[in-house]
Amino acid sequence: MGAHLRRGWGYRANIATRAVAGSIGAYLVAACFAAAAARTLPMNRLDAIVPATMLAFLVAPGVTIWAFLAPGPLRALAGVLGSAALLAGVAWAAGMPAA
Amino acid sequence: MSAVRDGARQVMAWLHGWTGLLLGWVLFVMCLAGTLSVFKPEIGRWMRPETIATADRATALTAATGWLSKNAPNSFGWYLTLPNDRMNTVEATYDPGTGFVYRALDPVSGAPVPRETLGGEFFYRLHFELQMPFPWGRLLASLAAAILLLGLITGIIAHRRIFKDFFTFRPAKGQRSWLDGHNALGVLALPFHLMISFTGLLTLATLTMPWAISANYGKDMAAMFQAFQPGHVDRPAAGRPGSLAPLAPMLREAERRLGRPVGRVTVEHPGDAAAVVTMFRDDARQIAYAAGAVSFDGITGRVLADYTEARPALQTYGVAYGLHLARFAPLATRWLYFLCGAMLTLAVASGMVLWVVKRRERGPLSRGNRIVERLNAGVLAGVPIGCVAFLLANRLVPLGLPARAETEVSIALWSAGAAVLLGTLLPPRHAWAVLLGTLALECAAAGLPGGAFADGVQAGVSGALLVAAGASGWLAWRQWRRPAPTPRRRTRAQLA
Repeated sequence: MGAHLRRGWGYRANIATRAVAGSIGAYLVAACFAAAAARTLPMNRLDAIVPATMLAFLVAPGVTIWAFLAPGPLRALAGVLGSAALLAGVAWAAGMPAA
Repeated sequence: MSAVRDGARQVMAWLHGWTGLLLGWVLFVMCLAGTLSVFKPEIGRWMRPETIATADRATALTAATGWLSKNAPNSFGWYLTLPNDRMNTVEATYDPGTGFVYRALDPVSGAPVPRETLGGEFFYRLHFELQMPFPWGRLLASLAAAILLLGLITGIIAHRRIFKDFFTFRPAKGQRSWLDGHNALGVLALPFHLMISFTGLLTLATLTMPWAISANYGKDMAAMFQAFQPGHVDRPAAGRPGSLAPLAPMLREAERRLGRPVGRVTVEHPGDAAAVVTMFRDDARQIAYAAGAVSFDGITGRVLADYTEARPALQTYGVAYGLHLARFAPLATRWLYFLCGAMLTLAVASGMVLWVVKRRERGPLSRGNRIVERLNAGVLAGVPIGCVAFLLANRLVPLGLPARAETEVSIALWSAGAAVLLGTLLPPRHAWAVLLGTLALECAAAGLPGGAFADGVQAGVSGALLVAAGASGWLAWRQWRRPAPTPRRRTRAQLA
């Protein structure tokens, strides 16, 4: 098709932004989710690690997909960073569980 | 027209294609090596045909530790897998003073077997370490597993008619046939594909996703490990020499307490007064991996800890881990794992080919896609050539050669490298025929020679090699006979 050659810098910037949101951003959200879930799930601090980590591996592809479906690249980036910040806030507010 | 403004399905198809292309070749190596690893013990036995002695666990353990006491007394630890109904040797990882090595020990003499080889361990390590130094191989493998899981999910969403395509195959129709094949391979074993990619990610979770752990334990990893494995005895070396008590009575005691045969034994600080012996129950008859262990003081033989995992969350993790390793699996289930793994490997390979076929039918390939086309032939046919070269080297490299096991690995890697290079340099149509033909000859050469059918395991591996020889030979012949492709190469004027 060769259409990619005719696609301009706008298209490339769009894809690049979504790719960053969908890769590094997705990992960031998954990591913050793991921390937030580990601290808030109603389980002891060891047991909670298991579902928190398992679910984090499902959160990551979900975020990647969303980053490419979001209405615009900046919305994707903002949405991803916003969710990471929100989850980090939850983890911070919950605090480290006592031994 | 931006791809991302199209319908969600097209976006998913676009994401499926590009993420697949990104790590498709790495995934192919992982899937192939992982599939072969299902039969890791059997491949090991095939590669050590002279070693047919068998011994019970106590005899083999006593022989192995006796030999190790003389030849690797200063190793930090000895990590042993005892013989079982799949494997007659003791698999040992130890440090003879030159860094850790992996060897199969004769169950009677305890010494490394004459045909020194990594055996199935090569494919097992390749599967998640990719011949790269720690931790890079494991990180890349984890990334590829994440891409596989993403690829499966995007593939499902992009796919319009999962059930109908179950029964659809339109052969000899170019792109349509490749797409049908790719879909069938992906959909028929979809639950397996989802399970294996997800549990694969979990096996390396402490490396790649440690944030739940650090959220709840901070820097106090010692407390986490103690809680995670209450049965684990972590005792520093005393710095005074000590002599190990006989291990056979410990084995009997451990099996009495576990109610099952012991599968693995570790001896830490073996020549030290603070030696610790840990015995793990075997991984058969239950899905969970390493479900129970008994630890002993190595000098007195006194029990230090006895623990069987019963906490639901930790058992869940153990089951997920065990599902990936498939050590629980009886023979029929093992073959199912192998077949599903082979389907996943072929799904990845056909996806890579489809990328090129699809673009070729639309018009002349771009330079980037011509490189993909050539690398496809090189990698998809060359990596199996390297794998079989490993088996062939096992038969050809003389016994007693220094660093014989490492020589086999070098031969495998150089063959794969040469095949990838050749596949990239030849025109794609010839590359496939030449490489697949080479693969067929190689499989036949490894599978045919004398003694190959001496027992069930020898016959199984050799038979599989001959089937592979037939299949790749047939593909090579077809590729050679096929008329030169006449892609509908439309000029720009025609397109307009």
